[in-house]
Amino acid sequence: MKKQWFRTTELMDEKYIMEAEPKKAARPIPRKRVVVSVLASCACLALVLCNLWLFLPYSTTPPSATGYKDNAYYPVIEKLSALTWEKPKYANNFDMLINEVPRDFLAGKGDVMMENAAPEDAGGVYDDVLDGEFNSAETTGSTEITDNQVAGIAEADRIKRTDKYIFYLDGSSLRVYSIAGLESAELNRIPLLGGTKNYYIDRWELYLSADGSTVTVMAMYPDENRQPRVCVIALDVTDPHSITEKNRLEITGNYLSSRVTDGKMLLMTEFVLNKDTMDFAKEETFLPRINGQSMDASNIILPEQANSARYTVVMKLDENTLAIEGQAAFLSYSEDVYVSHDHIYLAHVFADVQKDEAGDTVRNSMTEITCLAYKDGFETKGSVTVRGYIKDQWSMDEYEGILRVVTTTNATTVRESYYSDYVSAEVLVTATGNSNASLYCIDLQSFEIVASVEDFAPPREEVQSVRFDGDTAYVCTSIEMSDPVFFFDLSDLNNITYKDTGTIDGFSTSLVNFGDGYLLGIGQEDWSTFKAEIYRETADGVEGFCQYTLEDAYYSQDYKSYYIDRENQLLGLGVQQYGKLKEPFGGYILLHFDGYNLIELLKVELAGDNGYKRGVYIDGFMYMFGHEDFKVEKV
Amino acid sequence: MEDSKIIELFWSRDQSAIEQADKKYGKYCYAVAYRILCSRQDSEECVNDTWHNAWRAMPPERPARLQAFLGRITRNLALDRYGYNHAGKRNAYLETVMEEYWQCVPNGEVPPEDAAVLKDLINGFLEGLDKQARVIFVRRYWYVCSVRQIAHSMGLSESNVSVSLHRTRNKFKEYLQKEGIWV
Repeated sequence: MKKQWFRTTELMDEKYIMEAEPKKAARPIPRKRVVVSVLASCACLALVLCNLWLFLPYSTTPPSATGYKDNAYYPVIEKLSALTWEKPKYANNFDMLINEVPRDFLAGKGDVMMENAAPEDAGGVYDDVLDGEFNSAETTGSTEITDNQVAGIAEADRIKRTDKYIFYLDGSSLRVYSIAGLESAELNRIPLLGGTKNYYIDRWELYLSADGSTVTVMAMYPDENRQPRVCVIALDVTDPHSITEKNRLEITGNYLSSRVTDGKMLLMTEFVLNKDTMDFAKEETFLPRINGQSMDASNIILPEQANSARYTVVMKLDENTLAIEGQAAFLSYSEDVYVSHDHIYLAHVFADVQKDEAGDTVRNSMTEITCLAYKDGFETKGSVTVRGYIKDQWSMDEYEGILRVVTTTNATTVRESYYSDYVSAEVLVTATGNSNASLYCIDLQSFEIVASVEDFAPPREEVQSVRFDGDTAYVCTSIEMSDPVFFFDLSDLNNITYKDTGTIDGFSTSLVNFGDGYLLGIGQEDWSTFKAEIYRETADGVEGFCQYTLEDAYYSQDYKSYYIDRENQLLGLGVQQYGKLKEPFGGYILLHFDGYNLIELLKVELAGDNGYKRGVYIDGFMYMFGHEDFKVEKV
Repeated sequence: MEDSKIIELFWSRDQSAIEQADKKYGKYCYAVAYRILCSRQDSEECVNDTWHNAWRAMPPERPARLQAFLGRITRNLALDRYGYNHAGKRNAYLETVMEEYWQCVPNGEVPPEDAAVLKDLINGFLEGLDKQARVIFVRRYWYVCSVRQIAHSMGLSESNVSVSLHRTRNKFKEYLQKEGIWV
């Protein structure tokens, strides 16, 4: 009976059972005066500490770096200390809590490590593969397909070729094909980095040495700590059926860009600092390092307007051995890189903040461009600041000692409002309304602006594409879906003149000098119509000469995805077409300008993202590459 | 691993469910069994049986509190085993606890057998207690903790715990009498 009654305790509700779990100590009830006193004291102390924590004001001045005055990197430390300090938004913790705005600090780890120093002689020397303005074939070895910005400065791409083979980078796989017209076949397929699938694959690209024996892949992947890492892999492709790895170089950081010129490779990467772990007593936390060694202080360039705690690291490598022959770190984020025959131009944008007469804050976008000479080591030549921001690398050009730059200039007026995170429509309209385009010419001896045409576009327009060609500059600006295209005559900097098309439908995201005074624009006619248009200069202005449109079509704005053949007047690119009445189409089109019209020669189905598709015309055949897809068509 | 995931493993008949449950609640169940059985071997066997019973119970059961669910299974098994294995050999300590609890029955009358009625009664009574008294009561008569263990874990003196238990038992007895469902 007793046991039976005792078993009724099983009927106790689970919440009481959990409440009374023995390892949970119920709050002791102090009975003794000493205990009460101790508790009261603790409570008072806690209250004092809490008040201190709540109301102690945040520091409003950057921390001093004078403790490192004797350090060789003191200028860097001083700069980083100011850069990484953020002025508190609130006066103290109490202010912060009541406004309910937690602060998130973006953490990024930065370290540059080089592994696998130069191995034995590996053969395969990169030479200048371009001869003259247009792509032309060497007698042996590689033939350039990529429409490089500067003749003689090769840019990496997803496709390169020799007389016999085509090398195509499909994701993380290198595919090799024979060039044999309709009999062409895939000869080999090499998965790189174990066939890694990662979200950096869209940045992978490759070079081919002049003698066609070496493919160098610029790869990027996340390491075991999920930090980006650049991997330069040199492959011996002498026998495409048996491809072997010759050299490898690994650098922590993001891949920005690269060039090959005169047998040397210029590699630009980005190195981001982790503010949370940065410690000036530990060099590895705030300096780029190569092979475990911190970069020399003399190699670190500190721009006046540094605005972010990250470096652009520039390295010069021997293409054969991947040995490092020079390096420099430029403190600040470089969005665009332009490389001429003698210089590297690093551009970064910052905001010039002023107060206007009404007391409103006005922000003007400004671009600081730093010029580095790279032929014999790296040397800073100078820098210049221009109004506005640049669109891409094509917005800069060096010609006969003058740097020409085209920018979108804008001024944003920000009115303080009660809801500090709310940007009113009025503010946005103001911001858009002050956009325009400007052209600047900078003397590379003095780094002073010697000529300019400011705000030449209709109000509220932005630069969509730029192309320089000797004394001529072509600029397309637009607002919404209409643009003028401008032709600038830069032959006399004291009297720069220009003509334009007037406002026309659509805009061009890329402009291509197509020879014979014709300009090819690649872009959109409206939000869903692809357009390729030929422009030419007339006595009075610029006119659209002919165009090709494709309705309900999308294309890639990656310039390297276009096949530009000036000799044969061909344009090839990937498109995707979605139509309400038509079957969806994903493929590749080849257009030909016959002097009168843009004619569609091919429209072929090809799988994959438009940005990764590539094509090349060789001896009457068009070879087209997509994701897991390859087509050859007779043209 | 979260309770919900462990329950899901049981539901999907994944053998790792037992491993995970043991990892998370093995010690707890062992302690529940040991206080009743005071035997390491018996307690371990009880815990093993707990996983076996849990495997059979889920599905269809999907307990809201897995720990309490498993603890309840273990306790029942321990009490069963105590009655079976120790006929003639008694756990004096447990006997004391049962004797105390028996004092709650009004006038030593036969308690009703309707589990639903009893459940409402017992939980209704517990609801009306202040937290400290309730915790002491449940620790004593569900977890079968000693007065010393209760006092130590709650920062109280043993006499305080004893007095609290005594008063709570009396209240429980009055409560049961007031409810008037005794046969």
